[in-house]
Amino acid sequence: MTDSELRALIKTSPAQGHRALYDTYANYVYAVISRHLAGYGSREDIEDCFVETFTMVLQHIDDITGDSLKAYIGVAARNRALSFRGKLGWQMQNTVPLEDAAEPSVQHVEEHLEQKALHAQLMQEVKNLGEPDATILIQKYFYGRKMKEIGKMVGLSANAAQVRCSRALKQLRNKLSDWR
Amino acid sequence: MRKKDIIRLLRHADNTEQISKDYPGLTDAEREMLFSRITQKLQAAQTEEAAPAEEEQFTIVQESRFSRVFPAAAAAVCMLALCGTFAGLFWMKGQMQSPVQPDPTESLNFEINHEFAIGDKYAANNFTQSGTLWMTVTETAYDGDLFRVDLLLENERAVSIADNAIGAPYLFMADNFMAATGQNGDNWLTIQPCKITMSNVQEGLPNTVSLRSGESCELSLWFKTESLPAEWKLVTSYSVANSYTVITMKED
Repeated sequence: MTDSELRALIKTSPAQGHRALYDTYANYVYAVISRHLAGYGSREDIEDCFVETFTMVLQHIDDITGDSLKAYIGVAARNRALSFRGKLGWQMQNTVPLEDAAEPSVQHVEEHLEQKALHAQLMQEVKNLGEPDATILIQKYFYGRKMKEIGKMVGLSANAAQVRCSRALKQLRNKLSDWR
Repeated sequence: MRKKDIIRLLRHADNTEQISKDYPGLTDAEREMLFSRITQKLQAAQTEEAAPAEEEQFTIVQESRFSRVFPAAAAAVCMLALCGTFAGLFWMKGQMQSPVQPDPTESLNFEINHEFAIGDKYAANNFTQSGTLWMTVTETAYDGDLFRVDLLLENERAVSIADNAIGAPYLFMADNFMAATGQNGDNWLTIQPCKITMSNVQEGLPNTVSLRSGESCELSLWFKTESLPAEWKLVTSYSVANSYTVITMKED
């Protein structure tokens, strides 16, 4: 369903519209929040942040203007996750002030393009691992799930899942070593 | 390539959308459970909003000529008494509270150096695609055992950068504001404000500050004075060094 269709449905039938919005963006929001919070908070913290984000979005849905619901929701999820990190008491990284940051140069643009290519390669190599190894790897290192939960998801014992995860990671490191 | 390099690459913004599509993080059962929680929170919020209106709807007043006059007179007397009380409280507060620029004849434990704080505009973040989000400290003051900082936030043609997004009005979470109180190696130590109000309208922690280009709002932040060191920075959670106002509290 497109954003326009979602907006129309929310207007005519709020309950159905909210459910449709949730179904469309739940995975994306969870991924954005996990990216920022996995490793800093527990699964419960990620879920709490997720619930707060969607509650806020749905409460303010009528105030959202502009074409992209996804943009708004993505920013809301990121901001909420960063705020949660602060509340969890994590110290912030020191960053380079904007005025001290290097000016973009041809070299930086090339590096940026290389990075993008590396990310694409990484995702392809993850896919090439096949199932359930790819799922195990992503659930472990992106979403921060415990191995026991991952094992249940893919129908393996925790130990078996751990062994497959280690092998998959080793395989990935070998494949990507050419990019160093 | 080291394991932490791979994890860092996996968690890069470029991969988020594809991962969310190809490898959802939630099972069907988890998704339903979380939606149920969201629905309950929304219903609770709607019930809270509706309650006062329902009470008004069902209040029945038996009227007589006396019953119309007496409540009005009683209300007027109460208002006068309240106004008098508040006037007295404000007068007492004025006698007790130090002004932002302390009277040099008064003896204080701390004084506030406003040289770099009041009225300076700082770019509040470096996450805008265009324009700037400004943060200006308009006033600082002691408020009991708390220290209050009043801020003006202004969106000057700023449009947010989000993952794969262009053109969203800048969404700035009010509870992202913190006090950076010191460093531990390369990491900053931070504390949250214990109270935030927005444009004198809301009490408690506002959910969001969403500022479109040209819009502004006022925030007041309260920090526990005892938690603040002699010199600290007011920051947002994105960048300690980039979005700060230095507030120096010196011993007299």
